Amino acid sequence: MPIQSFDVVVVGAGIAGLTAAAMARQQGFDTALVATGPGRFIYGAGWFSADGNKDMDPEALEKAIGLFRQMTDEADCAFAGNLREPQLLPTLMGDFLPVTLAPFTLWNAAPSAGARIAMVGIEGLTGFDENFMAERMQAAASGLGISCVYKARRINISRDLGLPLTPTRLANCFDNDAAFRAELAASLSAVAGDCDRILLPSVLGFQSSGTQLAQFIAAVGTQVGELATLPPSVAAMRVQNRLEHHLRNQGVEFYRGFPVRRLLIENRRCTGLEIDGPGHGTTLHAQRLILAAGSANGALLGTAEFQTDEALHPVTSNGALVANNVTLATTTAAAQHCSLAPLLAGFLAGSRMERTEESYAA
Amino acid sequence: MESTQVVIIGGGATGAGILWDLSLRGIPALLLEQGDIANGATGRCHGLLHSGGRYAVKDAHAAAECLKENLTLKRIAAHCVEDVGGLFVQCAQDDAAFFDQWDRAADATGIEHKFLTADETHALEPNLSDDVVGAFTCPDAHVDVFRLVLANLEAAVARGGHYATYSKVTALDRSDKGICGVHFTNTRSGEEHHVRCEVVVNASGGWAEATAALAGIHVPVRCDKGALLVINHRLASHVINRCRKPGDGDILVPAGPVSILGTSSMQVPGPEGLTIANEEIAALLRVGAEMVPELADVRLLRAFCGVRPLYVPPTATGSGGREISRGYALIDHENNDGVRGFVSIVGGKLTTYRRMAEAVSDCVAAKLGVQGECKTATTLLRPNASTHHHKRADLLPWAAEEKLVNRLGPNADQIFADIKRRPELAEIVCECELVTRAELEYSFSQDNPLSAQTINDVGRRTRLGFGPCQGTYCGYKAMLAGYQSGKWSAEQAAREFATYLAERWKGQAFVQQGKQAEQFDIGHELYATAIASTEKQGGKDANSIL
Repeated sequence: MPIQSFDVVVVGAGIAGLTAAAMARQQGFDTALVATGPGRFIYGAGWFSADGNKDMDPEALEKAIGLFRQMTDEADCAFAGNLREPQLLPTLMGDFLPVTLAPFTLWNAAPSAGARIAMVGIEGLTGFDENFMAERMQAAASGLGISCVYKARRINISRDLGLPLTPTRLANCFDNDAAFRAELAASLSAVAGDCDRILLPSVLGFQSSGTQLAQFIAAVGTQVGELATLPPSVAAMRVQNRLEHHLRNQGVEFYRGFPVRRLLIENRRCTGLEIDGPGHGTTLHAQRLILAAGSANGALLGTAEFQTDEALHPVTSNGALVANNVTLATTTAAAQHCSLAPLLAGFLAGSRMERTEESYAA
Repeated sequence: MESTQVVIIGGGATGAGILWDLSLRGIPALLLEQGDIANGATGRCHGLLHSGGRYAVKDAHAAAECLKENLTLKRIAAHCVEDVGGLFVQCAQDDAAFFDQWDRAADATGIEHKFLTADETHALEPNLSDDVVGAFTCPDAHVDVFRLVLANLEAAVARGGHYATYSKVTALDRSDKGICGVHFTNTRSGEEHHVRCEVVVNASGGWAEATAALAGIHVPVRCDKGALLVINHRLASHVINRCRKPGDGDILVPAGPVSILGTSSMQVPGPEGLTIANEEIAALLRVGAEMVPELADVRLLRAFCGVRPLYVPPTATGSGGREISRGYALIDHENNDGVRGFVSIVGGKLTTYRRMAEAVSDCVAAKLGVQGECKTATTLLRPNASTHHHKRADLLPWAAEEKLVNRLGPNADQIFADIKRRPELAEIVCECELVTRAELEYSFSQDNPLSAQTINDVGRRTRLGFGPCQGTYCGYKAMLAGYQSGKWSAEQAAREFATYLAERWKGQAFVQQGKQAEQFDIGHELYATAIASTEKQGGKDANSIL
């Protein structure tokens, strides 16, 4: 069985795993990331809602957000927002939800007093209805006392992309076809009319960088905001892709699509893990292991009943340490539905590394 | 409608069967259902078309009746029945004497059956436990309950029958001649209605006691709760019965793309507000796994429960739910209580619904002085069903087209014509159950005599949202379709969707484990905050939707 060695191996490619891996790499560790697929983030809109965040340690959360903002800036998928001033953003039900952090294209969809907003649907895209959204958001905005106007508009895509049109097809086209991007910008421009902002379902590419999106918006000539869609959420996938791409560029080794067979734990120390490769297994040796696999952490540890000690090491239900170089990026049960919880968990697990290193040396 | 001759209360299989029977006799009738079709016990059972085997040992009369109706329904409602056949399996720990007793009882009842050795049984059903020592075959089958009720209504409407869903009866008019009118409220719009009539039929199953109370009459009905589990694939190709004294968790029915395991039996105060305890689910799975070991580790889509409305004749003693006869009772309140123009039909089984409808209709026809015999045993519910040979339209993926033709029969031609005219209607909206946009739009269409009022109604008509994703993806699109049909404002559509998700999630919340828990998480991630956001700003809990 082939063997690779790393300073740090992170399991899980959700927000927790990506954050922890970024921190490990930042500190100069030779880092690998193992994951079967993306985490839960991609099923959501692509933002971090403000819900439940006040229950978490604000100081640590501020630091985690600062780190995340820096990471997404470097990855050219800049986020907007901060902990103190949540922004109301439209959900796919046409309601408004307080959001702490969002990619700037989603952030652009916030309502503002006096705005005239074109709600743009795309002919053939059945999972989105501009009339429904405009009607709902108009009512929601009035309910909140925000005096903006929503106008439903519709554009046609001239090329035949097949029926039904999905956000995925449109996003792939957006990524790969400059002529399509130009046509889309022109169509949006044409229906903008007297509106000062355009909202459309999130279809602006799975790969596009913030720079490219800013160029696109400049070509439209009117501010553009994206709206959450049914999964797969293009905006969230874009964040995932940009961050993975960035971490690869930073030198993180990715083992994507490789299930973990087992952790190698002896005498309360983890020497690495075995993963399923195509046709053969591979052993990854690791000085440190960070488990950021969400609900799968239990299965990796071989027990559903585990807790963490103060240093975030796993301990069994009767208090025995499982391994002193395994760190858990887990959310507490209470924080399970706080969208920033995985970010905080990844941050905390990532920031425990230096301290633990000293303990290993001793 | 100002007046009709007969008002039927209850839109389960029995009520729908009565509407069809009366319509076939040319008697004008209106069926009123407080929810959607098959809202009560009909829509909350295994969908097992009994061969009588289940009752052969205990209740020869009920068994014989089931057998007769089983054979009749396979003929008249062929498009609603999947004739999978059944097995009565004996496990090593089961009483061998009962197995022999069953053999003799089946002989006596006339249930066609054949003994299979352990090897033969496993060859037929490889998922059965190694502990299975033998089995008998029998003509059990699966019946799609929603399709069955729709078929009866469809046939009745074609003959001039009327029905209204979401119509709750609030009062009965009484004159010196007896019951002569019905007041009902549309539960969705709040509109109140009144209709004059000559006879009222109480076919409201678990609600029969409450309905009879509107006429000041006591009809004792015992509600016996049964919980069932939906498993995400077919674990067996036959109906699997445990060959022993009937008990919990001993029937597994392959139902379309899923399997249904049940049931428990527990007396409850009424047909509403039922819940399912974790221990109930664990117990069903434990017992089920004795026959099919894979049940210990399957993906459960949801759990649901309904009540068996068992009739307790005034002479019956207080024995358990499984001891009361599965037979039915027709009560003519003119004889029993001196109230003319009012009959109740209680007890019985899904399998014998047609026979019950016949008995009621005979009684009603006699009251109205209408001559003629019941023809429902010989009239096909879908006249062209057996002769309609579908030629592939090549407009949809093969599996989707086959399902569509199966669901709609001759009406499928109209849908194909629609798709030809508007190719975008070929979109598969529900990917789990392969429901097309054409069917979704038709469900909401005003041209549809069985038009859907809610997103769940669409499910009962097409199976949309019944598969592994439980409406996570298709529910939203169905909501938009309802909005686009002009039926709902955006605000109402959003409310409909919230109600829909709450219902879908309720059934899943009972069985949160393994893969389905992940699916459930995705649904929550997607919608929980979105749906609850407005409410939450009003200070309500995000999880209040559950």
